[in-house]
Amino acid sequence: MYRYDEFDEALVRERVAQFSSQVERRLDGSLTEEEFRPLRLMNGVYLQLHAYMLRVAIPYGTLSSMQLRQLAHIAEKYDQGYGHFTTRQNIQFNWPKLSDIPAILSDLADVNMHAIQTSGNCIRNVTTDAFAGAAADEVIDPRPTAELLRQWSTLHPEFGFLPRKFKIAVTGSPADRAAIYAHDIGLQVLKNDIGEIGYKVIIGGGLGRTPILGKVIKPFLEEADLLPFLQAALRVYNRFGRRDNKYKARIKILTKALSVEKLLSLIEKEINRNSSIDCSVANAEHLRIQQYFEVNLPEVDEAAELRERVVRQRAENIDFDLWYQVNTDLHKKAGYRIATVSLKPIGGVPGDASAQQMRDIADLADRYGNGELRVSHKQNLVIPHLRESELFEFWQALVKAGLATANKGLISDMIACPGLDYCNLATARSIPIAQSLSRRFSDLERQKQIGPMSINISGCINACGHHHLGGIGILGLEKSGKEFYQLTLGGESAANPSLGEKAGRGISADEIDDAVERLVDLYLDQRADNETFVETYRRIGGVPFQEVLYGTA
Amino acid sequence: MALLNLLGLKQETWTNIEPDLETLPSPLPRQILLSVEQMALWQDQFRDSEVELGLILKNDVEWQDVSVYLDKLSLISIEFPSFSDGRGFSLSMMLRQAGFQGRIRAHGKMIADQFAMAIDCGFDEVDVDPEILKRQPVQQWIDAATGITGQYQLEYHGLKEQRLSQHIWRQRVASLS
Repeated sequence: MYRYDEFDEALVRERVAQFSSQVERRLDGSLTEEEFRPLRLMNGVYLQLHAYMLRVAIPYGTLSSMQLRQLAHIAEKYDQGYGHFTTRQNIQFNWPKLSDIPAILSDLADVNMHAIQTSGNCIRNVTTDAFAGAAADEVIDPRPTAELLRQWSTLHPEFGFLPRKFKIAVTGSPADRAAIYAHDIGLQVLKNDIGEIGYKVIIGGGLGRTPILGKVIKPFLEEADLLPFLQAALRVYNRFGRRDNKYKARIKILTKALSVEKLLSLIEKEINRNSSIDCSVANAEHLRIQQYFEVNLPEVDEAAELRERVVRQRAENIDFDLWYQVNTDLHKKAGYRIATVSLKPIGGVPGDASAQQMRDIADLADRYGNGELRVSHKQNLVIPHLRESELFEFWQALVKAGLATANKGLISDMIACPGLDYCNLATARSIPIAQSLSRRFSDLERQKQIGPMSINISGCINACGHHHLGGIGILGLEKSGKEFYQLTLGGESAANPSLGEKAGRGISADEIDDAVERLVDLYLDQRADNETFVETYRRIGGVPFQEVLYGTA
Repeated sequence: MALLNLLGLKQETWTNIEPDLETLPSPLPRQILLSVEQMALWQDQFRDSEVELGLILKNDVEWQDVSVYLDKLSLISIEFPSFSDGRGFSLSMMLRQAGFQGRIRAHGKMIADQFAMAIDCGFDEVDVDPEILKRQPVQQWIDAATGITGQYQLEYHGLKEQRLSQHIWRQRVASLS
């Protein structure tokens, strides 16, 4: 993983000191609340329903065990003993006091962490594939690019007061576990026919009240041209993005209004302006960064014999077998495996982890996984490099810690935003919906039978639960003081992305479990071969699903 | 009017020409600030004069409406209609990248915490709104401009060659060889 040098560390410490002084200047009236607001947002401090919320950056979702332990310490010392992992690979603390925040930031700085630009009208955390550097299907590790972009975007003097937030995601695999089509700019690192490295650049994607899948603006941008391109794109956005209407201010609106071709010509005109950017220096830094991400995993001797052992362990233990099948993934190196630690226990709050759980997982990462962890887009934790021969022991330790729920990618592996229980933007509660559904579908055998299934729940139209990208998306709304829920069907953020289609009128909270069961039963009845829910939906269309949903068949 | 640069408050020596004036005042002040429209109307009248010309820009001005005058101008003053509107930062960078070496000023609703960004984007000075200055006196501006000593972005530092050469990425490359 990337290691801070003195420069990186000094910058974070200076920002902490600066923010502390901004808090004081707010308190003494030098700054009005309106002026203070973007300054605190640019340091991840939200004002929520019951308390301040602090969103801590986990750059491209990569954490060390030491950092995870510090997050546990912060959860205990300053919060109510837990934290919430988000769909953009960050962590949120829901209960800090404003006066404690400088101390929290200082504790974070002790482990090279911060809350810089996790909110505000600036460039946000660059997110990536939680399996980066480990996945068998990966072409190029996207994390060096993500780290380069992290540096480039941090405290960028030109882009601190954009029309609106700007989110970038990078993937290095065609499988796209980073939802690059749902970002302002999405990047796929790839190789062209002659082996040169470059990027497929996607622009203008986003969810929220106007969900749009991004468009390819450059099928192949050479590696060395990345920063000039992004620089120009951000400048075009800064200059021409709408500022008259908060809900029409993202680059997706500008892209749609101008067309991708016109946007590209504006960006290219900007690139050709007499720029003094020294690309060779940027490229040298990119190269220097790469060495931090080269993981030299020891060769596994006797991989074949060890594999045999795992096969036997799986045959002898049904629960281990299930967990192995569902929660582990193919590693690019023989003898290794990627493991997902589910933060979706049956009936639990999706994405939450207690301080104890964080410590347990950190210990496991140290003992079995070279101390490295990832946060996935689906709000789970990932240990990317596990020896296959130790998986059974690892799993047993997970069981002991109550962290062995074998539901990765299954129906109970839901994404849910914090919703009305926490968030002052919310129109409805989302967590109780997730908990109830989780209990209804608790049987793991049944979950396996249903197969890959994403239920994404948002407590308001801002779509932080990414409901448009769910096979079943649930959007919580409110009318005349009553919560009701609209379903969207057939969404997916994979290589062939689609936005869910509205199923029809909203339903009440207590109708949801039954409704989802009817949808799932129809799918099980209609699926051909090994079709997933979304594949069946695409094949037979929305009408049969609507009919069972509303009982109009 | 409170003009501020990194050294503190400074004297204002420029004269704003009234927007609805139909003819130029006589005698002409030595340094005059005009709108783009006034410039277009009167530019020929300055051909042989000693007057220093400045332009007042709205932050959504068309680039070609400005770029034609760059070699005639000693000062460009860019409006920040609200502190949350960051277009002026891009405009200033574009001016510097086009080779403009005159002074660039910000006027309007900029707050102290934006001073560092302004300097890094090529601004020399800020004409601070009096109400803001009352709440955020000069020292707060100076502190804000010097609070963060490091920067990742290559092209900035107000394009000061010395700071560019010491940029962290350059240092890191140098330390490798």
